[in-house]
Amino acid sequence: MDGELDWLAAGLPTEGRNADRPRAGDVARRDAPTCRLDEPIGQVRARMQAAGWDACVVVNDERVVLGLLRAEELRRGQDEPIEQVMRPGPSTFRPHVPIEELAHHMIHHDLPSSPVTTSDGRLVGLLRREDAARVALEQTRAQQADHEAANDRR
Amino acid sequence: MTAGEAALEPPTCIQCGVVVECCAFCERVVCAEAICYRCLRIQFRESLPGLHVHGG
Repeated sequence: MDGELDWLAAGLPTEGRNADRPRAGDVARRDAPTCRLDEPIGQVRARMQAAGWDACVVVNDERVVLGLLRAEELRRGQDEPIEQVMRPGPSTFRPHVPIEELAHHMIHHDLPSSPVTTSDGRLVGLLRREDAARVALEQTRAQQADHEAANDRR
Repeated sequence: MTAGEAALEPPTCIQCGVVVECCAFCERVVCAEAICYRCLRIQFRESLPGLHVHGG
């Protein structure tokens, strides 16, 4: 482990005032589907449809993220290998990013899902916009309730 | 990037105004809230890769 940010980026436990704030790594789906570079797109598409996912993360044997298939890529082709169809080197986010900030960006940028990775690029999970927005909203409501309760006590 | 997108003016970061190839968050060339990689990392409180220090 190289330093504090790498500790956080690996999604390891933290202490202190902000430790209980939900973060990207807490909300990302760990069961996100993955595929390999040499799989045919038609096969992966069928697997995604059966599992009810509209995105798939392309990884290597070490689970390092190589690419991403969103809905538009999943619609392309049949026998072509994933390597030819995928979105290579997608933007990834670290597990310690506060969920409110990611949710805000995902909504404003109309981004349906984003891979969350450790700082060495290994997949932690896939963050879905609806999950991020739901948890961020719950967090905001909880903060408001705490604030109101504190005001009532005064 | 599509051929249509490539013909457009490159976006500028809404935070610092630097011209970027595409938005660092959504990777789209057409983005009303395009942000550069540096500003995005600062917003997410992530460390920026530092410059290598070489002797001589």
